[in-house]
Amino acid sequence: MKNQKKGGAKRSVGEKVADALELPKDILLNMPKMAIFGNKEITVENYKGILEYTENKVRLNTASYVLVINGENLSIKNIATEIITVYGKFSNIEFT
Amino acid sequence: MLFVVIRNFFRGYLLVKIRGEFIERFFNMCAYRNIYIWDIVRMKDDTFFKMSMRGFRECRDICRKTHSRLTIVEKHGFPIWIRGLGKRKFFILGLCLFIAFFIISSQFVWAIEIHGLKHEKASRILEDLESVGLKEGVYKNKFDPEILKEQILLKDDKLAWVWVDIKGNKAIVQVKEKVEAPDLVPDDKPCNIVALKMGIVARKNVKVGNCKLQEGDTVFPGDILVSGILVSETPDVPTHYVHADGEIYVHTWHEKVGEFNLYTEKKVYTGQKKKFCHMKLLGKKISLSLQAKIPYESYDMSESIHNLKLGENHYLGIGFIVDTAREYKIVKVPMTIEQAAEKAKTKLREEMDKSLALHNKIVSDSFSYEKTADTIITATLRGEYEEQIGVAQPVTVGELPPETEEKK
Repeated sequence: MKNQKKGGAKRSVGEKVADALELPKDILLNMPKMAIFGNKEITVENYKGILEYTENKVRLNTASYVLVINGENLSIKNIATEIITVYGKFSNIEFT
Repeated sequence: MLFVVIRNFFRGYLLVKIRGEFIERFFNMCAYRNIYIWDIVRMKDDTFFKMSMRGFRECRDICRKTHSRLTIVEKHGFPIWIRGLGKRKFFILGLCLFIAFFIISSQFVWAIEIHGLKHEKASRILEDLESVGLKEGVYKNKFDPEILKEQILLKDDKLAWVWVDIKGNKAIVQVKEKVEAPDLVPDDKPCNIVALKMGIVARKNVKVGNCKLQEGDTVFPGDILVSGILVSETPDVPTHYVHADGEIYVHTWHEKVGEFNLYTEKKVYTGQKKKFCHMKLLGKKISLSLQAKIPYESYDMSESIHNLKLGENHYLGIGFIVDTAREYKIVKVPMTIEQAAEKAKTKLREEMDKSLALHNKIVSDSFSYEKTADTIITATLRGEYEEQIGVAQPVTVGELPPETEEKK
């Protein structure tokens, strides 16, 4: 949206192919896929690792950006190679 | 997820405390190496998480690389529980004994139930069952219900059908009693009608056969009332044999005399009772009471059996039998002569009914009584009855009527 308003959102070739062939982008473009339940639980698929974990902040590395989850009493419900679930009371989620 | 939780429960899991500079790196490396970690909670400096026991062994070198220190806080899961149980030897022993007892006791029959009895007594059927090998405490795979059924039927000619079902530890025996066939002569066989009792012929209704009796004739037991042998008077026509049919009604006289008391005996329970407990263990009855003597002169015994069972049919072979002896006293309740006479009349009437033929009618009867002793009356019921006294008696072809034989 942001890019489109600035005029001429440049989409990569991969994105175009994915759109044209209706293929899932998380697989094709290695993008993270997130499911957020209210402000309590977030499941991130296709993440690349934890960068920081404290009570109030979780920073996750993904292929294209760093996902920052701020909140209170954050805990990691489970963690595996490609999927991570963070639980707590979120105040904001940033992409940097 | 649920599957993972269950799997980890059975394999055992640990609550671990981690301290170090690079715990994020530790988690990343664990995730990379497929060491499953869950419920990571951070509390100020300490971080707690759960991992499987196998994972704990596998992550040692990760700890070394990331300079983190792991401490086991709690152990959970099935293996831990079992290890804890190992210290309680008597509990294990008890558990094993119970399971063994359960398995062994379930191989026997502990209860027999009989359904479908109408006239026969259950105790007699139980005796029959015992003689063919089915009784309480018998090994249940020892006999085949199919063969057993046949054996019982061969043994007991009063039963028409038997079904033996073994459900759990209970043998359910279903029986159907035979209905005795009346002693009839088949319709196509020749027969006579013969008198059963003495009497004077009142009326007759002959359908088939030859009847020479007249009203007012006296008949004696065994006399032929209606003959099925028809002898022709013309010599050329051969003797004809038929199935005689008809009803002969005769007048009979009967008398019933009985002595009756001028009081009724009534059982009055004194309220005194004594209980005797027995334990039924694997088919044996073991007395639990020290004193086995019953201190009463007259008493009623009642038995109540409490079988220990699981569910509907799984008996354990243990039960308690409580025999209760209840003392009673016989109390004589006086009656007026009229009351006694009324009672005597109904009693004599019942007796009379039993001795009369099935089809009967009272022509006239009288009832009288007199006081013969202090507390006794003698009652008499006498009367005239009309009864159907003919019964069929088979005749063999070739036989001649008694009169003709005499003539020869």
